[in-house]
Amino acid sequence: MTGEAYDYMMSAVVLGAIFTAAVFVVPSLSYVNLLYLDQQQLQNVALSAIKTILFDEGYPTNWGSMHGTNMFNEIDVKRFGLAALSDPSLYVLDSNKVQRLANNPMGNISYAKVKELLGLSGYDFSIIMRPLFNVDRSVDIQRASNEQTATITWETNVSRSDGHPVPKAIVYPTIIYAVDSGSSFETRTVQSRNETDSLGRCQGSALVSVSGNAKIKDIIVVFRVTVADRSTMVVSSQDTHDPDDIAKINIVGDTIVLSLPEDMSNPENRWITNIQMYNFETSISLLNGTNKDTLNYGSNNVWNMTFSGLSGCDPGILVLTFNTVLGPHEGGRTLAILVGPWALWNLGGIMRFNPVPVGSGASAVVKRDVIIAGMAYVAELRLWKT
Amino acid sequence: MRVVESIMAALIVISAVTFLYFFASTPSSQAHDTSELEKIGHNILHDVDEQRLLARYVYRSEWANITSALVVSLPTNVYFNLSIYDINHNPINHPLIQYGDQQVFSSSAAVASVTYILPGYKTSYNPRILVLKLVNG
Repeated sequence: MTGEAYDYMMSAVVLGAIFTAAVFVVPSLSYVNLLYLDQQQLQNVALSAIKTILFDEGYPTNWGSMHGTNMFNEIDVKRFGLAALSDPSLYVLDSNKVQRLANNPMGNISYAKVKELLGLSGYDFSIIMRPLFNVDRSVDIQRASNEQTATITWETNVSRSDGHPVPKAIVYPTIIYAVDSGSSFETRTVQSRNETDSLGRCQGSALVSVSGNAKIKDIIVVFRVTVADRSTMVVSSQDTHDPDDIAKINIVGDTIVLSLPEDMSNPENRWITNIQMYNFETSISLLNGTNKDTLNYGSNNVWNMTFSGLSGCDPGILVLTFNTVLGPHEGGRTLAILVGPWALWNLGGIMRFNPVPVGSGASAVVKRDVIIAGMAYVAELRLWKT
Repeated sequence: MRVVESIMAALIVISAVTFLYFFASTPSSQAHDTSELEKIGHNILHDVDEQRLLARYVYRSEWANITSALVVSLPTNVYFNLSIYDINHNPINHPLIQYGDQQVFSSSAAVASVTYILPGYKTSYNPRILVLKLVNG
């Protein structure tokens, strides 16, 4: 009788232990495993997707520029990929294709279309292209009242994405200023060189002056920053006007396309007086504008012109001078300088495609260094389940 | 007798669960991390080489430049250690090319190693073997 009771008690203890294991331990093991499996599956899908995005040229292979100066139509894109057609190297991307991911007055490819072409139903993703490091800058321009001299002072702060300073980065500030000589207009440049200190900072100043009847109009400072000659970033700063108020600059293949901002707060004609290609060593004049080279909200809201070999000048920037009114209450006509194209590094130097916040579930992130228009960027793909 | 039966039943259930757990186990996280670090390492060496800078750094002994280029290119939480050898695998004498706490390399089981070969500089054939070790800090 005692033995039987002992048997029952022992059985109850053993079964209780099994029950506890079944209720608490096994589900937790399975949950961790499933979560881990989920994460690995996402990682594999993300790796496969970024491989297609970076290594595939897409079809048509020139899909980023196939419509020339006409409006881009995403229906014509049959396969998605950003790789450069003319470059057999890996991780070199076609800037015409990358620019179609950003808001582009010449048309862009939608997130839904890219998702469909990549076959990522059941997943959502975002793509971010950003420079290897951040450049914060401040520029102060003091002009003399006779408009013949100006003192430009600048300060830059170069840091990594986590905020750590980048010492010994070489900063090349280039001052570009428009000179009105009465009978003619011209653009002049002055370049200097600074090196960041241990805190990633550097500063400098320069004096620009003209003589005779000439007057200094618009001034813009362009910063080219390199680390070990490798990483290059260009940012600009100016004080008189918002560049977006004048015109938007795009390059499609060898064609420069200028378009007006959607905001019509400044409805005046913009006469294009001069276009130069500047590669930070030499400046090549591409166009001295005539009275036909104009942008307005009437019949000329888009201007374009093809310059053979333009796409091979990377990395370089376009310097455009306009004869325009800077705003409705800004007085008469003056010269305004515009530098571009900025499609890749507007909004603080970062291009975001579908920048929606990720949910609290698992997500996978894959990053790769890429080269776009001769400059180094980090391409980041973030993928999660819908 | 019932105790023996209960213990036998428990053992069977536990061994079945254990078997299933091992059967469903996935590759270790470290193996996955190492594979991703190898891809990142190769990607960066390839990109620097693509910009025709890697050979210049190595053959012109620009050790500070190669360190800076790797520091700004790699993700911020990745530590590295680069060694350079000649074709016979003799080490080339150079200052330490590294970033981050080097003790992590000995304490971590997930150290990725990437081997990249440079055939020469400009027109001279003089191969160099670059061994880049990476670890998550």
